[in-house]
Amino acid sequence: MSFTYFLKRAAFAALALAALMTSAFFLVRLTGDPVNLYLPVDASDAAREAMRVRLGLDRSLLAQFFDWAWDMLSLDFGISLWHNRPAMDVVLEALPNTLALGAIALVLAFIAAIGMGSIAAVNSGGWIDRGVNVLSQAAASVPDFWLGLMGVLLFAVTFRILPTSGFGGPIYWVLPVACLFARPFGTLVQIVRGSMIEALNATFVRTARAKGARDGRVTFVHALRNALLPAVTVTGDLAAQFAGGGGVVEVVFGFPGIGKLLIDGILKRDFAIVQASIFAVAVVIFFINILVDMLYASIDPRVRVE
Amino acid sequence: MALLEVENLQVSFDTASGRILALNGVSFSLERGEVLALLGESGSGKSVTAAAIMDLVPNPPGAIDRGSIRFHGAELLQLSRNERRDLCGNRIALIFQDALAALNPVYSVGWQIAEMYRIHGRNPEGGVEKAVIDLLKAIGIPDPERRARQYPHEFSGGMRQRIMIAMAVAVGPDVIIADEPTTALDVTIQAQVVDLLATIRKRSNAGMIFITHDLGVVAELADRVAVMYAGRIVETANVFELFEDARHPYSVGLLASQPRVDTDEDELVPIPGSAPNPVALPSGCAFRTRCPRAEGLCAEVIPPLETVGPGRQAACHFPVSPA
Repeated sequence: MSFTYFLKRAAFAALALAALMTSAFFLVRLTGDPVNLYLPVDASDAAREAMRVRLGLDRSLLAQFFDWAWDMLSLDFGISLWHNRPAMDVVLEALPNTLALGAIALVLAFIAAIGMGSIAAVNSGGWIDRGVNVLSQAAASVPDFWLGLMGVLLFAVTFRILPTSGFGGPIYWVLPVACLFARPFGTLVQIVRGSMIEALNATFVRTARAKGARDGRVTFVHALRNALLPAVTVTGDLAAQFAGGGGVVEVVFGFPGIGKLLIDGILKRDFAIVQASIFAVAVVIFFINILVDMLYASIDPRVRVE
Repeated sequence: MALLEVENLQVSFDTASGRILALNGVSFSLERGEVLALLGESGSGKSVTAAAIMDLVPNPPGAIDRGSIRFHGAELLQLSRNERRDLCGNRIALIFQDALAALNPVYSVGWQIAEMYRIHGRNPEGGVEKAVIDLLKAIGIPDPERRARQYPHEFSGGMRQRIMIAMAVAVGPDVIIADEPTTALDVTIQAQVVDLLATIRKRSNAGMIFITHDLGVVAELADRVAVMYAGRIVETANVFELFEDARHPYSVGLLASQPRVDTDEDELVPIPGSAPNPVALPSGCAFRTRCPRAEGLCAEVIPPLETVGPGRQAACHFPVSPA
């Protein structure tokens, strides 16, 4: 990937980001007036008006927008109403947790799916294949809030070996990772299985056998690399979803990630947090897409772009 | 002892419309330094023969029901799966028809040739990398150092087929099986590939099985020809005898149906009808429904492959008389 190609991509991404942030600006303001939420019910009208003036909410929406747009251009995301410090600082504390959680779950799911999907493809039609099929269908379709609650019930309440929620050492990561792991694993097993069956029936696999390659080499060196592209595509999509936070899973386990921050931000009408979160996630997704393209090119020489 | 002996080989496949016999008692032998052409229409069992020798018959749906394949006198069908793999590529090599499909699209051609040495634990003098580049040079690829790093889609069809051939002969096999190596190529490129195979044959003392339906290529390259029809060998002869004096009516028909420059005949005579449905072969001789010489006996008794002259056999109740 050349540098000019990267710049072109970045320019398009910046346009998309501007449109995204503009719609975010108007959408968060549709959630309601934060002043009503932050001041007590019996606060005086004067106090309400004073807070509106302080937050700049007394001016016209258009005037607010131009102010905000100017701040955006200088990458100033404002002060969080709830945390009372710069919103981007709060976001940048939560983002690494989410990225680590998503990356661990996805990498584990990808590796496990490659193994299981390949084994199913090699034994396609046999009982191993059918077993893997049932398992992966179940993993792909079980809702993660249910999986999370059952995990808490079983491992935290009944066996008391894992914490119910919170954040700290590796032990706090086990249940969230397990819950986020299930759906990508199930989906990827199905995809790897399908593309591996196709690759194993290709003529070049016959060539590899004719050359004297044994089964393991034929499967994992010759067929697998040809079968990886669809799995990488889907993993990229899933990574983009996970960058926005493990949503329900973060909430269920009280995991301090960007998903929980975003949901809290919306509930607390903390406009600055919502906007800063969306911005940070969009930038991460841009880099995930670049990474997926680079992976593509390194796996298959035919898709290398000039 | 022959280099490779195939005896009474029977291979069948399960299909939606029933079990079909792809090979029905095929026997032939190959000597060192000899080029044996397996000649026949598609579906006659040529490629299945190659697949059986290379242990590439997909099982299921295919199975080798009986017969024997001996290499240097050793029975291949009794070896384990991995013992067969160790022989393949190393001692018995296969060149495929369509090199674009047969080369792995995601590895460089240099890597794919080098793999041949690596799989079989060969350490050529000067290293694998040098051996690969020497080989590419020898088969006429210009700028081999750069080309070795390129991928199959960056080569022309003729070059890809040469690379396929280079890969097959890299570690010096005793038997080279070429499965229609020129079929997918332009006529001018075909000639170059045939020349390359002829050169390899002269340089090495390997035996070569050349699978084709192209009489021109047979005349140019083969020493001996086995004509196949519906899963059986119907005639074997040396290449001159076959062209001058074919005995089996199918061989005669095949020769008459393709243009030749060595005779005055300028009219092509097609064989009437089409190759029989393998699910429902005619009783007796499978060729009888298309044969001008067929009589009542042909529908009742399958003609065995019998000696009809020194070093030549035909499977016909009423063979064409010697010219």
